[in-house]
Amino acid sequence: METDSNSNPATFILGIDLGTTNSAVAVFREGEVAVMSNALGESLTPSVVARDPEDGRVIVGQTAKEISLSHPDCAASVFKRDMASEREYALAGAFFTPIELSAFVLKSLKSDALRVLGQEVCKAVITVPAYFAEEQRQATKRAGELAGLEVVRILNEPTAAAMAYGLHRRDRDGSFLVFDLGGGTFDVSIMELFEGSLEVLSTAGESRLGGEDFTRRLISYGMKQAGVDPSSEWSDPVAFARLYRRAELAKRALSEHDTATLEVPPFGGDGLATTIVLDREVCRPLWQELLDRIAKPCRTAVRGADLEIEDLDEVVLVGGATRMPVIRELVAKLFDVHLRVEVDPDLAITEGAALQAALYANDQAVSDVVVTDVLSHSLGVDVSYEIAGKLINGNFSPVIHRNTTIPTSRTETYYTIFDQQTEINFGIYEGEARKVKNCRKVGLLKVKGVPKNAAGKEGVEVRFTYDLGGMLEVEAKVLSSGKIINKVFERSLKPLSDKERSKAMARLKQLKVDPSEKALNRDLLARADGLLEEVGPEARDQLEYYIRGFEEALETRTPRPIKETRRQLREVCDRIDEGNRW
Amino acid sequence: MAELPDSNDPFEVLGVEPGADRKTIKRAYIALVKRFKPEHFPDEFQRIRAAYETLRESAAQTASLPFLDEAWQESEASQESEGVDPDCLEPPSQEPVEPISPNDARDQEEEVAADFEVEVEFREVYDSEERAEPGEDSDEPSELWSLVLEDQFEEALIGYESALAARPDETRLYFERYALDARRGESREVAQAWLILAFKNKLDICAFLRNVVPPGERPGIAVRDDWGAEDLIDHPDSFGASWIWRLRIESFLCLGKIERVARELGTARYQSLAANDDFYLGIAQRAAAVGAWYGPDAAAPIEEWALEEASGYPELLFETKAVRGDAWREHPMPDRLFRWFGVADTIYWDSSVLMADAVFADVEDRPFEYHEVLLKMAEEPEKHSFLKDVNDTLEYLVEVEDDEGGFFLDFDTGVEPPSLEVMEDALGGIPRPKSRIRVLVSTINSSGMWLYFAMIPLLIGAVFTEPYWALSDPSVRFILIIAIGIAIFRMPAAYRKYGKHDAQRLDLSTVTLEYYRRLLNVGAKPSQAREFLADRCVALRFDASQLPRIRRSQALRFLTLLYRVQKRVPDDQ
Repeated sequence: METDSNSNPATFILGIDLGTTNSAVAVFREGEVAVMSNALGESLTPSVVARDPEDGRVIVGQTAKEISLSHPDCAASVFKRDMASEREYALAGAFFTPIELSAFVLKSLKSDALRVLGQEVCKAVITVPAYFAEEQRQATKRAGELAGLEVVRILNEPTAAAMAYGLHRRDRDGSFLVFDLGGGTFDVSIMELFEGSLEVLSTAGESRLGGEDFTRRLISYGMKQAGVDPSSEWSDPVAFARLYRRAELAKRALSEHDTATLEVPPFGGDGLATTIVLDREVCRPLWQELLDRIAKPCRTAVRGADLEIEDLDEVVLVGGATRMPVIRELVAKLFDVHLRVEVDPDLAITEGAALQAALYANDQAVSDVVVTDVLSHSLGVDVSYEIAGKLINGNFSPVIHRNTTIPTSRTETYYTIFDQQTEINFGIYEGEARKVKNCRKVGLLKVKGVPKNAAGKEGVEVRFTYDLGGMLEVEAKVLSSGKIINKVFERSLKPLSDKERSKAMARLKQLKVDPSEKALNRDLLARADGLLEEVGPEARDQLEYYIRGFEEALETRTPRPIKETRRQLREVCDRIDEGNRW
Repeated sequence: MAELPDSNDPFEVLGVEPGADRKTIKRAYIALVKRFKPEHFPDEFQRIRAAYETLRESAAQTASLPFLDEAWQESEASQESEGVDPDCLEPPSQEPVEPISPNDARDQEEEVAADFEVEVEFREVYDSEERAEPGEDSDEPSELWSLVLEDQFEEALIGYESALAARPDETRLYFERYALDARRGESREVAQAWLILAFKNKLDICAFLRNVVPPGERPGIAVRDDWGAEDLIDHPDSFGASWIWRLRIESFLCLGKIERVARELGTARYQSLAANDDFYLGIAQRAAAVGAWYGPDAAAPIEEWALEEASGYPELLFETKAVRGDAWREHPMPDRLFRWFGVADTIYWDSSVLMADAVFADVEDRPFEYHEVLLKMAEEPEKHSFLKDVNDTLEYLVEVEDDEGGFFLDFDTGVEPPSLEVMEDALGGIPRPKSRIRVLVSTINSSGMWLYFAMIPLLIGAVFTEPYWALSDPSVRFILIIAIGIAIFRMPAAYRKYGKHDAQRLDLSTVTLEYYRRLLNVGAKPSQAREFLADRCVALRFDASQLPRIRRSQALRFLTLLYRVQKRVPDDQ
């Protein structure tokens, strides 16, 4: 349905930030980025998926986050970290892979866009951490497909952030560094802005380092101080979930105040809560190791861009965790330059993704914008070589080096090592190590039918093509015959068969796309339920009173009392939450 | 939308003039990619990008090309003022801090090369080293060069073709041909191919560039990573001897980029040899090469840099150091060799072998020289760390298990130190039986061949449906009985043989004996040698089947050296 005559429905492409803690979706329309708010009217949707144990339906977002506090066994969060891993999450007895969980989030974002735009959008640009491995990118792409989205581009998060940032200052040329410390991943990218073109020069990072780790350190410190056995995390998940939330709040409080308290709830039912006072002196040693890990990719990126630290004009901070004062101090210490935080650290990536989507849609407003990105890990094959008559196997030979601008296509030639060798197996790897055992395997390419000849006489030219969609294609050509022998390249992440695909899609149908009001009511009740367990007796009575009132109003199904009681209950919850937070 | 020119020439693709500066190139690139965005024109984008990268890399040095003739004349002028004698360029080197006192010629050069501060300093170092035989190359431009200066390229091309055919030994012609291509706006690769060709014809183009061409006009060849890389693939192991490397290093040095010398060369080697070698190994070897050619001082910054680079990887660090030591070994610089091994602080399996290998290769090849160095080091207290490393290596070897196959050395620490009696036994070559069961098994194995032979008819019988065919047939029965008979007959002999010494002990005794002999050879008294053996290595067990001969001998040489060093170390250590 076309409500707006200017916009052709086919041209909309979603820009999606699929974050570790929060996700968001935006489109580019009428020359600017429009962030789609969710059913609750918020632009950030927590990347939490919960499953209702009763009807087996799946809920995404704030409501799920509330459920994760009261029923940790029914909810999953931070699953982005395990993208493309074997790990499965149990949600009220059913198992989901991180890909499926991400697909739920994407589907929910897609329905938000449908609600706001009034039309279904089936194409998307999805962002991933720049340091995501090939396999994780494929997994993200798969999640998009399962959610019914054609993923036109897997975009690096820092690049997206830089686009959002660069758009505001097209007139000023220079190099800058994007420091993206999100919930679960850490990326550093160095960009060059030159007459409207944004070129990523280099990128580095760590795929498992983020704000969550800082929270985790606080938690383990709290548990240690309270004398709680660390394994209690699994024995009493409810208490742990509450501790988790409190630690998160304490971490945030430390951004604004010098001290914060962390209340460790009694694990295993009985006992008293232990209150621990946190200040920067306590936290610094806890976090030191994490801070040390941050410094290294920064240096790698600067070196990869062939620059000196002095050459950087600005540092752009992206990601919620960069709000932490320790991080700011560290960045200021590492780069003696102006810190730029103009962009909203939470939404910059989403905006950038929407801009990238506009580039795909050929939007006139971005016709003079060019953005080039780089490959974050070297891609290559395993080779053997001979040292003093002995074959040394398992060496990594890069074909496309990291920080190569994509799309790109590179070739390398390799030779047989045995006489009469007719078959060559190229293990495709990704990484920077010398030995493939320290790299990640991406797939395998079998080249058969190499003409028989003495060792080293037959060469195979291997071509790696990496496109913007994040697709790696590998092709091998036997030099002597000039024949392209085999194009089939077996990925480690096997493509889904039709049957598997339809099965996976069917599972995703469980997603409950609540009409906004129902979601709101549900969210509020879940939140109030969660609070009930935390508050003292007086507040509990009061809270229960309002909950009952709200439930009664819901029974009557008349809009006005529902609205009224909902407002009251929300106020009470807010008050209790604030009281809880020092 | 205009089509992208269907050409591989980067200048044509980007539509810029040869000699364009970095900014112009970048602008042209951006204007093009705005039309051919990567999102919609991936193939065009890739071609534009490739052209851009090629030109961007060369842009840094292109600056010198437009002034080529100018500076060329300048250089002629400077040489005229100095006289044609190239010896004038040879700087005296008497000052210790600044080994070369700048003379007029140098001043001239410095002016031209004012951009490269490092270069000046560096050139002083390497210029003080070897000089190509001066006088071999004419300092006068060839008669064809005037054609080039007058932009008569076609005539010049023809002229150079015949000139090169007639006088392939004249280095200058190759350089002028290069300069001609550069002026014609040929791509860098095409132009540089002439320099490579000169090298291939065994001409010392490096010396020519250094001695005759003023610094500003020396081609900045090395800025391109893959320069000469193809040729290198043909000669992956021609380290040191490789003229390509030499030219590459030379040109980096011309640019005065020490760090790049290390980094780019290491990287280039890594890339071009398809990971035949390690990045750091590349650097280490380069550093050694630079050191060999231009003196240790020139290599120092590279080494420092490589060390810093490798510091994040303890495993690599040691390897790098060890390899570096190894590399130094190829040059008569024992000090360096031992310094590098001495600073090795992590004991890494491969490296310890390498270390032993390196040390022993030297001891055998140049016994006097290295032995003296070693002893000198042992006498200086601050060098004791090397000895400590050697000891650590030994101790480490006790524990380490090589994941690639078998124990390297196994000091069986669980075993009691053997008595002198056992020692004498071992050294006297009269090994005693160890275990009855082992002996029995060995015996059966030895004579078993005949038993197995006897089994064949039975097996044949089992295959054909009648199981006892073999026994029922008289001739087969005869063969069977014979075979069993032989087996039984052989058994006592086998028992006697294996009863004396099983395979393992046999090996132990030979190895120990060999070691003992070596100790005596290096001047130990028999009693000392025995003591040392008993003390350290009698429990040394070699798994002869797994341990390649060469390693065994390496280990022995290693231990022998250890003995020598230890015996000479002052007591107060």
